[in-house]
Amino acid sequence: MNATHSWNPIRRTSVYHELLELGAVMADSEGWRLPLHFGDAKQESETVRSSVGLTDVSANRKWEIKGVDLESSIRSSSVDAPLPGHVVSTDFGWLCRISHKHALLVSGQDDPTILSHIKNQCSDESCTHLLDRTDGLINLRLSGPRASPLLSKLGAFDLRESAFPDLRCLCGPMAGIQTFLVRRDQYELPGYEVLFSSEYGSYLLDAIAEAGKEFQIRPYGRDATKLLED
Amino acid sequence: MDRLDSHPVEVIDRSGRVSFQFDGRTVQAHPGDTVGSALLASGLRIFSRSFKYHRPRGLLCVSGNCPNCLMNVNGVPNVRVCTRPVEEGDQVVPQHCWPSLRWDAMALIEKVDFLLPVGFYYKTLYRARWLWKLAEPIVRRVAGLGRVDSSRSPAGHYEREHLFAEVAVVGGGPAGLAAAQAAAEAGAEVVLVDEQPELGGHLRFERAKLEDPISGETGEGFELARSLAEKVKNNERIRVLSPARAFGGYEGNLIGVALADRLVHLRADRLIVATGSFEFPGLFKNNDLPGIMLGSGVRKLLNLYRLKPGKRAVVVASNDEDLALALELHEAGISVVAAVDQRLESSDSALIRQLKQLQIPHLPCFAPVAARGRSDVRALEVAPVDAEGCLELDKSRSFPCDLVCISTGRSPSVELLRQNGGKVRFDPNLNQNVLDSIPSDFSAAGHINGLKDPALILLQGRIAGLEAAESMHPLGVDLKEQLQKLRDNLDQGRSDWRETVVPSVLFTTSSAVKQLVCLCEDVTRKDIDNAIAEGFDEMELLKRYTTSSMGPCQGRMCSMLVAGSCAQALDRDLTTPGTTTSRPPVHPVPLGVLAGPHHYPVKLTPMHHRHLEAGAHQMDLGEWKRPHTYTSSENEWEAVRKRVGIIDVTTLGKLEVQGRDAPQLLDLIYTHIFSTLKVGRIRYGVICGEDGIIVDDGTVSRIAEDHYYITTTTGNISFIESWMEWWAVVYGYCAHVTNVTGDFAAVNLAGPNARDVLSKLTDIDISSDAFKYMRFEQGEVAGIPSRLLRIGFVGETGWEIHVPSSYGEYLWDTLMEAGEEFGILPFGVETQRILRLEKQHLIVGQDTDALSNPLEAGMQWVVKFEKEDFIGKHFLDLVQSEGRRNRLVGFVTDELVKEGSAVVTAQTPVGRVTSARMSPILNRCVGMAWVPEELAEDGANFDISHHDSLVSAQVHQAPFYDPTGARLRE
Repeated sequence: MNATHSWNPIRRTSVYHELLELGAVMADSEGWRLPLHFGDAKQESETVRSSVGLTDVSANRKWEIKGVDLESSIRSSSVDAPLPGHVVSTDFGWLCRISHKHALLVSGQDDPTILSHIKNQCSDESCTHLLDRTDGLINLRLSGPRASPLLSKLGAFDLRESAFPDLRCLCGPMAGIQTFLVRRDQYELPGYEVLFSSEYGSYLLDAIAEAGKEFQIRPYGRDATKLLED
Repeated sequence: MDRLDSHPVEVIDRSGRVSFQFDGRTVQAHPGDTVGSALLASGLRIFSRSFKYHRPRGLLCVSGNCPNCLMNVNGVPNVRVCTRPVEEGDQVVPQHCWPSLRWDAMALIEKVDFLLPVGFYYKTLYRARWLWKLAEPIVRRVAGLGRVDSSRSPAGHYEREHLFAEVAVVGGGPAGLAAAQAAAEAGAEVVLVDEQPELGGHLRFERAKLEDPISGETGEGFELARSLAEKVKNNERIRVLSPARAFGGYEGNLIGVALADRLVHLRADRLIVATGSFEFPGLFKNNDLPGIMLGSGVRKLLNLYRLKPGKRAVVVASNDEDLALALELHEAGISVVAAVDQRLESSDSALIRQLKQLQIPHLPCFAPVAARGRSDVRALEVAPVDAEGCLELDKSRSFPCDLVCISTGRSPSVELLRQNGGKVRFDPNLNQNVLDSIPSDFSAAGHINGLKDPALILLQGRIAGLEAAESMHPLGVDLKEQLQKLRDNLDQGRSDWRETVVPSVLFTTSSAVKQLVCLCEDVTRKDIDNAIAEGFDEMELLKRYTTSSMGPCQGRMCSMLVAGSCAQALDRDLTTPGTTTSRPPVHPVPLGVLAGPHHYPVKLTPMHHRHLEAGAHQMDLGEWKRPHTYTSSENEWEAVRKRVGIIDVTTLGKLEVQGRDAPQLLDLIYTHIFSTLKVGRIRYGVICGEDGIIVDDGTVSRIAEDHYYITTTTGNISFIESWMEWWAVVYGYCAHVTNVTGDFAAVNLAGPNARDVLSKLTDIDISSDAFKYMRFEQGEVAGIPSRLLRIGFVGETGWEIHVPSSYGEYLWDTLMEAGEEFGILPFGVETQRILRLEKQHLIVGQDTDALSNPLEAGMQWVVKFEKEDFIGKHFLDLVQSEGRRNRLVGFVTDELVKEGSAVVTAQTPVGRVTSARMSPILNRCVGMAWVPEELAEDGANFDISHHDSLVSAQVHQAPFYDPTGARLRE
């Protein structure tokens, strides 16, 4: 082993081991080791449709954007800057406006277009600051009709349709941990992105699983996601 | 006891059988029975013994409001068996009696009741002092109700739920059902809470023929109840929580609800309280004998469980609706020997005529004087009464009976409203408390408002539901018109009804003894009179002195009786005494339900599973799990000092500070100067509070002109993040602070061979000249983008390597593999503590406390007084000018002393040991301690208190290991 060795670093999310214990069959994808399925992708997708499923999407890239010039920086990319508490969903992913000076950008792409526009705004004259939080924030996704009653057991969130429709976001404690909660419906089902500090990954996954027992929650992997998309 | 003939009103399933154990015998029941109804059916009359005098008590309310049927069920004490559904295999045991319910030896206490008036413990057993010492163990043993089995692990899996609704309805009786239905019809999302397993409230056991004024549906009361309940349960806009108890009202329209083992936080835009009302007992001699029951309780037993609670009954009531119980009893085959009517005017209503037809003696303007019997009621003595409540005892009559049904007083169940600011007043016309004001966002409907007519109750419920929904969903024209019509009908109905109300007497002036005012605490009318005579003449004082209404019923059975007794003793009317403050919980709530699920946050590093696989003994450091040791601290120490060791330091707090004013912010926060720190350099920093006391320490690396990377202590990251954000806002700095603790996995690779290991994994020039101590570099290690910090907490050549946390395990594996040829070992927190102590590197929070400033902690060098200002400067200026009083010093001793031991001079503690360990280097104990300034000279001796003797220690100011720091800089 020496400095000229060809390295093949593998990335694992902070709930990697817990997902293995749940029966995850892993596969490598763009440097990440992620769950392909948990034994039966069809059943996983059916559980999502009928009740609630949980998947780890922490491999998504995430950036926190802070600063008083946040709004103009976003607009420079020709994206409508959402109001605080609102989310904009586009081809690159989604942008969640947490407050006037704070936003979270999540994307499946390494370098989405909006990012380069925002980077261009970061200068001595502008108060716009970007920070890669891909590893700092774990991103779990809950999908299905029972996702919201499950979340109601973990935090004082008003998740009624009238209060928290699709493409909204909020910050609040979930099982005692500060989280970002984003409503993003997919596959014609209600869906929630739950983002929180990665060191709590195992703890909050357990809490979600415990709360989800009454709804027969199941983890699901990439194969089930494809079935849901079809 | 045989059951009455089957009837559709019943809730028992006669085709099924359930058996349970009671006090050593097997009892048979039907599904649908409660433990109480099954025990009554088996012939039990005495269900409990009273708290103080151990008087026999039987079923009274059959509603879960009184204390008379508390038993131990399956190891859980104080279960109200009158409402507890029976389950197969239940183990039911009576409590608070010895040797049995029927023959309780403790009942002898009542013979000396004159020695035990209320408040006796304030006045006796303290002179001589030894009296209380003697009496206290006995009093403690005898006192209390029920026993907690501390060996039994708590059953139940507790959960929590947060519910939001547009309209919350508390109470699933006719008013609540009508309100929920109406609100849902108008478009609102509704949550309905009801404490019974079946919806319908008192209509569940009502057999009178009724008509629903809204739907026009007719039927017996229980049929209408079931029909209404079905509609509500099938309504998609209504979520029903049942059986669930709303136990408290809190700020922000929050209601606490206990739903089995789940605590529900229910918050609604509008709340409708339809919790009904409850009867309370009458006040006469021996009013607590078994066989004396509330009328509503008797009707439940007759109808729901098809039981005959007695053979010869006297009914005591104040209106036709309640006197009608006499007809039900008669129909059930129970001989009704008298219908005692406490109204002050006789009437010739249809009911009275029916009683006459059935030859049931009707006694208008009569009231009870005394109940006769020892272990249960055998007769009731009654006498004529006038408007002032005076009994004409010379005209009294006695009726042999084994059942007395009391329906002479009602209280609205207004606790939730009062907890939110609602007020009640006494209405002398209705002879009960009524709501005087209701908090905004709340409304009340049904029995709670004093209504008795089911049609009016339904009307009022519907009006409440429509009005509640209207504020959020404007009503259509039809509903608007309907609402107005309903209001008009209700007003007319109430007006008509009020005209039919005949005044009745609520309390008689009899001064007979053994009138139990508070059943829970055995407080008698005489006790109340005596307390008032002693000066406790306000309701709140009376409550606290006599303990009335402080028992299991929380005033439901007794607060009106106390108010009535108080009013009579003071010769005032009932509008004067008022009520005591209502506080949550209204009903008993298990502590487990309030505590909720066990959510103890735990933080794990990305390498956590590797530590477990390596056999690490884990320890808790705040929320983090960290390895204490892997093998032994000796082994690990040797690896670090002689070869190479690796420790997971991911738990260190980490912050990114970005912005053009980041340098100014750090200069303000830290005592050192960071605006002059060059890019690629690291500086140690100390943070003080405004009082100059050390709050935290760590390293600051400059990544760019406007970008710093900061480490803090493990436990203080949240505070430091807030602290920095606060000051950035105060000064209006463009400086943005982000907690990136979880973003980076970090290891400290340290030891003479650390460079050898690292050089195998990176192209970065890590030679001693190129990568000096206290420098920062970014580059790749094993193909991972990394931050390298050349620092050394443990005193050896070493680097902290910070990588994106998703690479943590990979980095650990790669370093261990690369270090194998050099004998690398992982080391834990314990070993790190020894290593850093040998260097006298302090740990904030361990070696410092709330009085420690950097000047006295030996860190003068980090305090830059030349700065114009920094947090804590003013107080540190004072310390500097006045001189140090104490100092943190290193010391050596021959014997290992305990951390926290006192430093002693002339038998007086003058300091303390903060850290102490055996050092393999010196083969002696080394440590750090706070000592007075005069003892802080190098080589000075001082004593440490250790195991009742003194150990001699010597000040050693230089680090015990590598005092020049040469190893660090190699």
